[in-house]
Amino acid sequence: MSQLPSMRERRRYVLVRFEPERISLDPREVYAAVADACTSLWGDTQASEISPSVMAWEGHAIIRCRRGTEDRLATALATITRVGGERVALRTITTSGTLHAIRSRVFPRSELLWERKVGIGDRVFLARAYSGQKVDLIEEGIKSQELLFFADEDGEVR
Amino acid sequence: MPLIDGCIHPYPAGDSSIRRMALTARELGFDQVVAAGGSGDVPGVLRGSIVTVPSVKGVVSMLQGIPRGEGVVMVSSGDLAFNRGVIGLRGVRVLRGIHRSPRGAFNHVAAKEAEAKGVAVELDLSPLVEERGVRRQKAVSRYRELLDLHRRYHFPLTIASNARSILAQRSVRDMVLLAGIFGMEEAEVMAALSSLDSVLVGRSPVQVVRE
Repeated sequence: MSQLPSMRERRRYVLVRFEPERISLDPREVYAAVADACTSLWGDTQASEISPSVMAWEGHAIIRCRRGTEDRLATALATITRVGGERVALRTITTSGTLHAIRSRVFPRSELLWERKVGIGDRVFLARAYSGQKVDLIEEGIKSQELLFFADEDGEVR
Repeated sequence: MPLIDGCIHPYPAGDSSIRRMALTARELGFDQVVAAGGSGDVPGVLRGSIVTVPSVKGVVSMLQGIPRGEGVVMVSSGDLAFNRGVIGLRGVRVLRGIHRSPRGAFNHVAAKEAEAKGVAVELDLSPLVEERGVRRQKAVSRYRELLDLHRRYHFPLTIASNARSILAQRSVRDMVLLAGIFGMEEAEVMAALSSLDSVLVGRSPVQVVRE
């Protein structure tokens, strides 16, 4: 149903960054996690008031909500620990009233500096170093692929 | 005043190294973090020691093994008698895990003593982030009671993510929002995040009052 521009609901857009950065998430799963976090924290009534919708791409997502509910949405986002079974954190970067303004705040992903195998104890990890002194370690194996987070000054990855 | 995340648990207790967690904390707006069992040679990291024993006697003997002035000594709370006993001990800076203690484990008497001794009570935000349903509701209700006592008796509060991973660390703004769930105002959150600095200085038995 079309509405007069003056009668349309005011929306706000929240830009979030995923951590770990290189994780690829299905936007539908991001939406499910956001909707679940809103409902679990605020209940059905307030979740329907927030009315979140998600637009996600590599490393980032823009989450739309009703104006005036952006703080409640950001609080719910802070309670998300998993998306589709993957451990993840959603870092709120900024909130804006227009998509145009929020897109200008998206910053490029950290640069991959080097990649090599390292051993910790009897386990072997693939170490990926990114700009900002960050080194992510992905365990090599079929059964469990543990993810560890180190810095380039840590003895384990030198 | 520096903003301090009251407690994190780096590798091997968690999946992230102390340096990486310190980097992430800086990105998220903190000046310092308290790392349980961590070394104090990483910039922005304060060494923290967690004492978890069921008796006050046990806490006393554990405290003897910790050099005086060595970082932040945090004691896991128990029942009211235990908490009151622990608050009176020299060297104890923070009482943690109040949300896991039985109801009434921290009352107005303990609150007055905590204020007098300068012992902080930790608000652990991890149950608000990681728990769902009744467990989270219990934590919210316990923190609301604690906040009422804090507003009345002015004992110091600290706020901790108790993160075991960089993925569980939260920004200062997130902490303001999460603490808002149990009615904490932004100014109160900022005061709690920066309270450890003065808690660590401790309270001298004699205070100079300027007129």
